[in-house]
Amino acid sequence: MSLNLQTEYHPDPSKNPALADWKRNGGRAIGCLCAMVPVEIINAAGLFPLRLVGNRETVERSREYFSNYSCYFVQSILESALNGGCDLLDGVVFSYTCDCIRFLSAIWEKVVDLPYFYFLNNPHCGNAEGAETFFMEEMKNFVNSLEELSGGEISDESLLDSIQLYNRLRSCYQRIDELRIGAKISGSQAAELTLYGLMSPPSIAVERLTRIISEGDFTPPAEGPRVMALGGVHPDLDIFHLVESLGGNIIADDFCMVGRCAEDEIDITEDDLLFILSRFYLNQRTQCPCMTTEGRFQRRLDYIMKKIKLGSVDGVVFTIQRYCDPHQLDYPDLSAALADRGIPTLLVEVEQSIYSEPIKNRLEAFVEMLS
Amino acid sequence: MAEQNSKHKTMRGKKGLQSTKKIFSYIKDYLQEMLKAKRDGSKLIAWIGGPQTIPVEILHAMDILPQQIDSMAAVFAAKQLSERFIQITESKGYHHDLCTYYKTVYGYVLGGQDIPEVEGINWPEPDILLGSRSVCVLHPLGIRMLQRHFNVPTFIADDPLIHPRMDVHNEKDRWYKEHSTVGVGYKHPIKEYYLEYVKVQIRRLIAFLEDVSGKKLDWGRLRETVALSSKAAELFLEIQDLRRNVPCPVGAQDIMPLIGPGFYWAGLEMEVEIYQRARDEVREKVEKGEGAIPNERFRLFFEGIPPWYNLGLFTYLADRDAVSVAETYPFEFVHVMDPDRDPIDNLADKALRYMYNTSVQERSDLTLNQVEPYHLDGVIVWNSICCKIFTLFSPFMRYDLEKEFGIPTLILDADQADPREYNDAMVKNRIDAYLEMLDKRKQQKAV
Repeated sequence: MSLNLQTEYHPDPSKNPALADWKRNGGRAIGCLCAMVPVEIINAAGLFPLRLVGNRETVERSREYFSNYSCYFVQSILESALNGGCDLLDGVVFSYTCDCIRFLSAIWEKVVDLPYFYFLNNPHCGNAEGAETFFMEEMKNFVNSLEELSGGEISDESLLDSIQLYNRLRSCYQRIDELRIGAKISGSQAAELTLYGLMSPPSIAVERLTRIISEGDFTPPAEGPRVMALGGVHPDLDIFHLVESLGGNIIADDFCMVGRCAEDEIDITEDDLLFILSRFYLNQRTQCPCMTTEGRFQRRLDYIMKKIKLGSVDGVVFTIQRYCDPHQLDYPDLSAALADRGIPTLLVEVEQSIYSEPIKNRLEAFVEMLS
Repeated sequence: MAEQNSKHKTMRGKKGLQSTKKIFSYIKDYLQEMLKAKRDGSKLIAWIGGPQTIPVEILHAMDILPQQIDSMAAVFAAKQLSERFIQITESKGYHHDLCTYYKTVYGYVLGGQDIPEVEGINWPEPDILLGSRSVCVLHPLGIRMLQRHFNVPTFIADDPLIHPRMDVHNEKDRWYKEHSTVGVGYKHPIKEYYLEYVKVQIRRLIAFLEDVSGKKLDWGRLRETVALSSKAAELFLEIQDLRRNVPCPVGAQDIMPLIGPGFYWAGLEMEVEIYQRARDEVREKVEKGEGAIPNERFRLFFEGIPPWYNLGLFTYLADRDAVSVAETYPFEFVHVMDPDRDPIDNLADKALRYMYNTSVQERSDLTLNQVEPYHLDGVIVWNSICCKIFTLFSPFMRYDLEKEFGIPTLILDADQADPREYNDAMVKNRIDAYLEMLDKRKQQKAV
């Protein structure tokens, strides 16, 4: 079936119907960049947190302020903001994921006119002594800042409710991931459901996704090569559709806006909720190539191998944004490790569009080889 | 005559100070000390990526020999070897866009050591690897990459950058002149838990080094190395102050090699000696009214990492009466400290307050703050295309400079270590056009 959720969300906030509805009802919304931003806190403040994933619009105006020696992902977000694409947002929270995002946040503060701006300073070495405490302190400041914005207190009760709500959303993502790896739904359907979740108010997303999952009205993907895709952020379903159009299916991925959303739920067994969040974000996000945590590379490799085994993956496609040095730095050792295990790999470099002829030709040859 | 690389026509710079000319002999001696340590195992060799939160003052106090990734790569580039090393790394699947410092050093590791031209700068392999995020995210990631290759004990310090929220710029009286400082680091209050976090990282480092070396840190020696590092910093910053004179006594050809001592040898008498001699020479030149170049017409500020394989560009500028009177890169490596303070507090301060760890706005203000005291006519950016913290900064700074002073910025794409993308003719054409424009502006001002 076609889920048609693409009429209900959009990567560009100004075109996102879910955001427009929220704003029409008097709600306020905060853009999040990127996966290190604790959305639970924003939601607990009564604000709608939505992930910014960039877009494929042509970059022009942002060149005045921002280097073209940076990934298209961040350039496109700045371009969108300069063209009014973020006007429905009340503000944006940046985490310190990578240097492109750090510098985007700096120029953003200067040239993008939104009421709220925040830079959340997350540690990179998740298991360094003191990291959890430091990040917790940063979150306390973040809480204060959001309280000032919302004009109300973020109580323990509201934070707990929010964590539990997001746990239910994570549980939906996990179920979507299971359906996908069991070849009950295609990669593009799984990605559509997950992106919808990231760009919709969480309570609405949980309800909608739960219903879709329980109805189970899915069309299994066509038989064909099973591909795992690795890499950074994609703003849309293009890579999934492209592989499917070539006869394959992306049965697993480690994208932070799709596959990695199917993460463990937050364990609420300790009292200090901010400490719990700090620990969760520093530990769960260690697969991100921006993290310097001891054992991070091995953990990412283990995750990939687990998915390869579960999904009987035939080959792995690296889709790496140009100028994304954390992903570029992981690639050689990761592809060598996969080659050692007999797994074919392909590298495609992504900038504005995935639909360039060279990328299409290489993917076509790769999928054909796996057939 | 300047040496030239046959393929890319790059040139070495001409140094003016006697003390700077001698630096390479210190490096040679240091190499011999490292080679001896490698042979007899008397001292550990540490390769470092991301200075400051890995204070070399601690390593020297523990007789561990520090080697900086950036310095190694810069020397390889200056010796026209980086291109070959980068190609070796790229042949293993590393991307063309990636940091050429790491690709240079990794190429040296993966095969570059075997080529004869490396004799004299054949750095021994590390016994330990140390990294931090104090400059950029790539540094600790690059150290992790080397860890996967060498499989030696590795330590990564986690350190927070100065939050934009801490800047006074968020206050209503925002004005760069009142708030920024030149060369002595970020001076605004820093939240206590930031300092505490960095102190934890430094204590972790000490525990790690004690564990791998089997020796306890002598805290008395650490106090000495911190005091020496601070004394050297004062001398280095005095040189920077003396450069405000017209004519400017010393240009970038001499300042760039002077980065090395603060980078490797902070905390050793040797660092103080080098900076003292350089300071004396510069002071003498100021007293005599001697400039770095015969006819000083354009006083330029340089942002970014210079193309180490072509420091001869500074000679090209000198031939056109242009001198670099200030640069940001050298400010990275020195910090004035209070010898009476606890050394960990001092080093945590040094780690947090240096310019690449500040918010981007603060770093831009540091540049703006040099316009008047250094009598700047123009600003040239070496847009080191593989380096995010420079390429992403240059449009930001250009915006501020234009807005506050109407000073035009020339952004030149020139990688720090990879001469392949470097187009000598285009760079020189653009420099010529830029100087012509500055000349016209000067004439208009005079009228």
